[in-house]
Amino acid sequence: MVVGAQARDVDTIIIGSGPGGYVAAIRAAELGQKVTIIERDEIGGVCLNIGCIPSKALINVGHHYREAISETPFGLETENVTLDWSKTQSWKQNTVVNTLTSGVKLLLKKHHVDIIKGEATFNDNETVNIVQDDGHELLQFNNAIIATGSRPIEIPSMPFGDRIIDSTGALSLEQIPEKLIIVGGGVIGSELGGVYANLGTKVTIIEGLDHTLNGFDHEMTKPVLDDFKKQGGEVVTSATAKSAVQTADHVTLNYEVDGKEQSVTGDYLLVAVGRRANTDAIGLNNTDVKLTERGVIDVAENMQTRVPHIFAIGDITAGPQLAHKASFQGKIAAAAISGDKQARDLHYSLPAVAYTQFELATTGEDLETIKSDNLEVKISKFPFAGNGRAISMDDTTGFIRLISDKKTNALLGAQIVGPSASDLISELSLAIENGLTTNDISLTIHPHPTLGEAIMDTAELADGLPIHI
Amino acid sequence: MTEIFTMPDIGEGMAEGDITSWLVKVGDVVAMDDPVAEVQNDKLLQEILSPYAGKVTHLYVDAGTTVEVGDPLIEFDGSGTPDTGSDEKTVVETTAPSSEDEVPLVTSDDTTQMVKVANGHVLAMPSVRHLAFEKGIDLTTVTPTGRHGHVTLSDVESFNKENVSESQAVAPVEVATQQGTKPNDITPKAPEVLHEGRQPMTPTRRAIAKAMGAQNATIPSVTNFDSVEVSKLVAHRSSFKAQAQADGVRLTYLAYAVKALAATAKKFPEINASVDMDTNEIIYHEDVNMGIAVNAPSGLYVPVIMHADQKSILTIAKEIVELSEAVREGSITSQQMRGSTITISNLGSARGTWFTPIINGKEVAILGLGTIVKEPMIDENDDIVVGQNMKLSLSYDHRLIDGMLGQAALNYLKQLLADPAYMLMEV
Ligand SMILES: Cc1cc2nc3c(=O)[nH]c(=O)nc-3n(C[C@H](O)[C@H](O)[C@H](O)COP(=O)(O)OP(=O)(O)OC[C@H]3O[C@@H](n4cnc5c(N)ncnc54)[C@H](O)[C@@H]3O)c2cc1C
Repeated sequence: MVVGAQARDVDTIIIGSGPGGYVAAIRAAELGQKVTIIERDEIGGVCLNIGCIPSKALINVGHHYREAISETPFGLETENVTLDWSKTQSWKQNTVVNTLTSGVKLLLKKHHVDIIKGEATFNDNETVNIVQDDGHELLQFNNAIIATGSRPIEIPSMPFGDRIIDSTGALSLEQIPEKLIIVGGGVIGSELGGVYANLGTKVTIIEGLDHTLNGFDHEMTKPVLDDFKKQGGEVVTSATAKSAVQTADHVTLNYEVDGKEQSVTGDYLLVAVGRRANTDAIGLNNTDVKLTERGVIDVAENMQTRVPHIFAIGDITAGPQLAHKASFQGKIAAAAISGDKQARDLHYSLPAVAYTQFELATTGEDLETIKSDNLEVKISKFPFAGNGRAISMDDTTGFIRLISDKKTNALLGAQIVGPSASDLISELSLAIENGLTTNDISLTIHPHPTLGEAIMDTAELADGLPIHI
Repeated sequence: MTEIFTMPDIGEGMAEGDITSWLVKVGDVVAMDDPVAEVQNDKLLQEILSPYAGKVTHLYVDAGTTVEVGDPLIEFDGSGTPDTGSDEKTVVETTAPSSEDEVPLVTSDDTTQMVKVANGHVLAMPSVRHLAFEKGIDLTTVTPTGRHGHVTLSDVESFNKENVSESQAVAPVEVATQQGTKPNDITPKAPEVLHEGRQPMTPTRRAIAKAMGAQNATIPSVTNFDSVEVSKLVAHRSSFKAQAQADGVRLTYLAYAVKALAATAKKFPEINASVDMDTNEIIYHEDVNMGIAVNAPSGLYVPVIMHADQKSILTIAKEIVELSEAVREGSITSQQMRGSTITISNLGSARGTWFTPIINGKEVAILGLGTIVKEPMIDENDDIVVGQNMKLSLSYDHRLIDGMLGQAALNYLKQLLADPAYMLMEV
């Protein structure tokens, strides 16, 4: 503690205002806590400002643009399609992002959450120091929730700069690049690659693994990759990015594949090789909070760290880095802090979505787990080509796959590729979470004609009584 | 399309049954609801009906084989109709009013087997899982009554009061319940008791019935009756009772009996063992974990005093009070009812004398504690004096313990109970 500094007493502090932190703040306030949230950048964290939301905005623009310039089978013809990219950027920032972040600010205000702008570091188990533009402040807290999220990993041989950019840079390019190189074909790299491919950019993805979109199986990713290639995209797998050289208007990436040195030149190089938890610069060494070997904060099922009154949620905890995971954990931590001894993460399924050209979504068990754990299951798969709504939308690529328990027919996992996969997957998470069987799903009336009917069809298939296949 | 018919649960929570005869053979074409096999379980012989129509392509077991519920029986090739909700499996579930201490009426002839799916999940909704967590209930120990084997909210709500796992049920104490408490206390606000006609068993009654039936059917048990003069024990207790009370402990004879039986179990490891007839092995338990049959208004529970051999009488007394209170308040957890290696059933407080306790779970011995009665006895001067006799009934599994050994253990126990000073020396 700085000599002479007087700490101000507060009740519950939350460090970071991403989907973990702001949700925890609102819930804790709802449960009677007096909450102070500390944010060094923008309210809303990565997700609202430079992550999920703005990326989905651009993905949407990419879809519209591509549709507008593509031939349609139903006779719509458009000419002279142009895109005012600066308008796109301003819409994304001012309408989409700002609407949401100011909405969150309002919600925090409504719940009397104090917002402090500044960077927090722990002094010890009870106090944080907050560095602000014009000084600093010490807070002595009763409870804390750490929700400091993550940041892009930088590869030392290709430091971020003018032409070597991270996802944030890729979301706010001033011009649509002609050639974009992406190191890392995970969800973020593939989503952003898809945006620019749809906008006419020649995109090259360099991936270290032997496949892109890790977490989704080959059968799911194939339509995405095929389409990406159709759009002129190139994917190099099992390749190691070595170094990059930037000039005033270009960047060249050197990489190795099959023991051979290669290079590729583009306007920008997006490095999207993963995100590092923000646990290193927040003074945890001054506390008794413990990290795991992987550098994330070790938490119990109620999000409690080794210090009973300090909790941690979101990207800085183990598991996938997803906004909905952060929010879910935020609610648990808030309940625990408010005295709910039973607050626990007891979930069965954590859905994950990739907003690629054909959306990919998975929840519960996937093919890999059923194989590695030797689970006795039944798999049923129904193509969107057999779904009336998909046909009427001219959007029939993809399928729904259900993995159900062989004995009881209880749904254990599900994957969707295709239209609205991101929305449809929720029904299946609900089913898994509630122990529903494929029979329960087929006995549920689904409105017609909808994409959701395909879920019913897949369930009927599992039950051995398919109608549409 | 290939369909596999698995062994259904035809009785109340049947876990397995013997296929006494096949009524179909490979190549037969059957219609839905055709009888396919005759199955015998503990209680009944019954035909089971096919949930599928089609050609029988494979019979998984020979007639005469014991098959567990859920094991494959018949492979069909034909128009499959999944085995869900067929008539004979209708579940009638009525949830009682929401008041805390009301016991939901659950009648079900569907599965009472815990259903865990391939990845180990228990079929239960999130709110149910949370409630179970809150109450410290291991969901895998709750008997599901929901559709497809789901654990329902009311299964969990009524678990403490209603459920008792097979190994935890000990019949004789139920007798005590009935003698010692008003009938109203046995089933508080339970479904209206009819005095004629049929009434479905409550899940607790069913669990007890099943457990008792199974124990009685499989264990050739013998009960030795005895009594021991315990004037010294009575005096000992009287002189320490007040002091214990000052420490907040209610010192009971049961606590002494736990200590004495634990010491006996150490000396005669055969009574603190289990029998495994599948491997023809005897499992001697290292620790003496003492089950204490406790009756609550809704049934009986057997919480466990772990490592009873390593605890002082006062500690044991304290734990008995805590565990009994937890049982009566309904806050006992399944964890606290697990792991017993030998059990005591106490009818003393209900003024019971001798009885034949039924062995608990996988154990081989159970001590029935009767009341202490003043009786005439002849002392060393051949005078008739007033003695204080405690009644003991030791039931043991004759597969492992013969009469001589049973009595030897009982004699040692008597020696300890007759003079608490002995306990000091021996334990
Ligand atoms: C391009 C991109 C697209 C994505 N798309 C999706 C998607 O579609 N779906 C999805 O589920 N996830 C997506 N994610 C991931 C998602 O954004 C994160 O999982 C989520 O934001 C994590 O939330 P969080 O609350 O843990 O932390 P963050 O959202 O990272 O918020 C942490 C906040 O803490 C602040 N902070 C850090 N340190 C301090 C400090 N010392 N003092 C004060 N404040 C501090 C940061 O400034 C930040 O605002 C995407 C990510 C990116 C980059």
